[in-house]
Amino acid sequence: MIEPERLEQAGERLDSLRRQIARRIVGHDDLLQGILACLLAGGHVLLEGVPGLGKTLLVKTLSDALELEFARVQFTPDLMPADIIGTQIVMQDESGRRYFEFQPGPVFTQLLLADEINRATPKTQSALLEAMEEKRVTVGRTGHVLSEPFMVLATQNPIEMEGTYPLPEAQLDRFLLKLNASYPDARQLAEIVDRTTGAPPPPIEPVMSAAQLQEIRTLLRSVVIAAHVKDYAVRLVLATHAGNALALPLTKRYARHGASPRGLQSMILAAKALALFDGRMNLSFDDLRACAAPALRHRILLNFEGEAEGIEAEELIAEIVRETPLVGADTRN
Amino acid sequence: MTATDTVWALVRRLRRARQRQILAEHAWTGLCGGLLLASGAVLAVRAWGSPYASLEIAGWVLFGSLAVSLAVALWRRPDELEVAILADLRLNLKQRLSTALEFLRRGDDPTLAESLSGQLLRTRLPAKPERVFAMRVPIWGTVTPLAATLLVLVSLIDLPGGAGPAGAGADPAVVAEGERLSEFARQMARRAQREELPRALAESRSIQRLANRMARAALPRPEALSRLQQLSTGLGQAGRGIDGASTAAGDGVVEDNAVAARSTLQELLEGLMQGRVAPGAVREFGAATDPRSLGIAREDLERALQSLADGDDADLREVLEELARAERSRRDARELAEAREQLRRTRDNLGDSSAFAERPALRSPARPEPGGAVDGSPGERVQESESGSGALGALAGAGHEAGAPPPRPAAERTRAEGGVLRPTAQFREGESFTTGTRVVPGRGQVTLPVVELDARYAAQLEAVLAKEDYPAHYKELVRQYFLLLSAGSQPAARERTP
Repeated sequence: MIEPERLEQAGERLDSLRRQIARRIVGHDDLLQGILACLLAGGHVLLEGVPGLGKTLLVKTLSDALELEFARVQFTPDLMPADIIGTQIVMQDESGRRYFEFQPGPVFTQLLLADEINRATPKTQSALLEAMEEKRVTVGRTGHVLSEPFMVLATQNPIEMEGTYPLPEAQLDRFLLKLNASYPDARQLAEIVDRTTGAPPPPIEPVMSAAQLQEIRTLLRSVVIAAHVKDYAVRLVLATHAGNALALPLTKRYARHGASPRGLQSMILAAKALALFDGRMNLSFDDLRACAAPALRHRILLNFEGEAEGIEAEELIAEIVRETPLVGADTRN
Repeated sequence: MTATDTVWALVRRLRRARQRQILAEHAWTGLCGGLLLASGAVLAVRAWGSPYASLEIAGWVLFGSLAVSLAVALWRRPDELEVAILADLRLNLKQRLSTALEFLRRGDDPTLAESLSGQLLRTRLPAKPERVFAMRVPIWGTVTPLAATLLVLVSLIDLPGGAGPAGAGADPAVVAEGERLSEFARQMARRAQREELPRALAESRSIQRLANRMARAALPRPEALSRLQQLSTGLGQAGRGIDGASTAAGDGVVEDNAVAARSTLQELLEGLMQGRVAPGAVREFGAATDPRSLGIAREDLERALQSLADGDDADLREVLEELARAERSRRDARELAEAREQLRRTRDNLGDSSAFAERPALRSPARPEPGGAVDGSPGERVQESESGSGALGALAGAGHEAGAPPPRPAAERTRAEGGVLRPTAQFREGESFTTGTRVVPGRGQVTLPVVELDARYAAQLEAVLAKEDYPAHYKELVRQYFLLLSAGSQPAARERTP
């Protein structure tokens, strides 16, 4: 159960975290909110945006403010799985006896920035699968547990598709949210120039420890959801399936596969994080609507007609959110 | 009071407000829907006919629609959670109220329910949250004036001719009477146009409209009778409104004297203007004639004669015009009286028992001397009896004086003979007849055979009744004759209970 004092304390900590990050990052409020939601929900996030928007800086700043270990891997076509998860190397002890010792890769961290993840081969990409889902890696016959909290922040460039390997659906499904980094407006650009071409940016002070983060994560799981709100979330997800009775005409026409149950879980968890940010111990329809696109957009596959006509999954989700009634017919008027 | 108690109280207030709102919305919807349905019902009754009056049906439809709407509203009692969800949305409470209520109702975690209730109460709730369910006029309510206007219009506006043939349930008597009345209205209109009688022309159109609706079976018998009665009353008022003429038209003997006197005066005056008649002849006639019959004051006449002697015929022309106006008014009133009699006869033929009692006094076959008063001697003039049984009651009295056995009182005969009277009358030496008639029965006491005129005899009967030179009591004999023929041609006279 959530005690109001704990809720208030968590809210203060999260506000403090935001303030710290805002000292270095200009704009990207939605992006930061999504990343924090993923962090609190214990998920991973896929960031999509053109280079130079500050995605890497945002992740680095977040790690600084959280007192968490940070690692960055630049994904390239020749990157091997062992370059990520680590490898066994031959060692020799003082008696001259040789033995294998596991040398951990960059995945053994708390915040892993997988930059331009779609440039690596599927084999390398899949090396992250076990780590992302089970928070552990297996090398040979030995399993190695990753430290908590563990979060992967992968980025990909939406415009340079030459020489890239689009992420397989199975791996996409493992990202809690897919966030789009938008281009800053004029005021934000001017602010960025001021902050980066003048005096060095102020140092970021850590405001939340891993233990405190873990406490907030526990708190997030205590956020309650009413039956009718849960029903709305279920109907939103079912409406993404072309064969379902709740599907809208646009979905029936352009969708090949709808969101998985993991999509529903992601939406609920992210919405709980938003409720926590708002200082509420219950979920609202607005929370779900805000999380629908980030949680579902990478889980809906379009059919050939949709691809040919340039339809985006976002459009389907927007239509679903717009047309799906919040509650039953009796209480709609 | 704990937070949960406060939330429960809040939910109860919201629920009551929502219940009132639903009731109001349903009432508006029922009213508007009822008005639209009533309009449709009135149109349907007009098109296909019904044994009930259209406005009566409209009233029942409206009442039924309202009753059903309110019953649905009462049956649709809003659930507490439903109300809480709505209030959440309208007050932007981010589902705090509905979530708290759900856990309160679930009851498995009182601490959590208390926390959620406290969270709700910490938000800035409006002072009177039940105002989110304030009474409002729904979209149906805004359409209600239009629906009411529509009902008024369909109630007032007549359907165009040929709106539909007589349906399977058409009343043949109403249709036949409608056709007869329609023919009469056409003739009346022709006469009115020819003789320039404006009031008669206007009333003939009203009769024509009603007759047309009866002829195409658009009116059930009760409604037809009701409208005939209204029209008849209107005609009576119009007749009385025509200056001076109605009195003459209502009293046959005085009327005939006046017509003759005015006609003679007019001829004399025209002869005077042409130099064929001397002024002294006019003065003599004026002095010898009843002033009421002249239709003009003697002083005016004298002044006109004096002016003519002085070489100015303007006054004389004015007198002539006045006489012509009086003649037109007389004809107008006579046409209206005739129309009223036709309407009465139609009601009588359709079984309206009150129509018989409204019969005008019958004219005596022997005309009295001009200017003489009408005496009430038996055998010369039949008068209305005090018992209300009309001319035939007097006929029975006439028979008694001629040596027939004394009649029993009307009430006694009614009880003894089941409401059918068969009086015997004698008009002249050696002339007597016996006829059957109906009496106005006491409520629920007697049954009367209803004999409807056979359509085969309608034209013949109408031809006889239209002849003005037949005395009224002979017309009645002819009417009874055809009714008896009709009764004989019917398998069995239908019984009815008044």
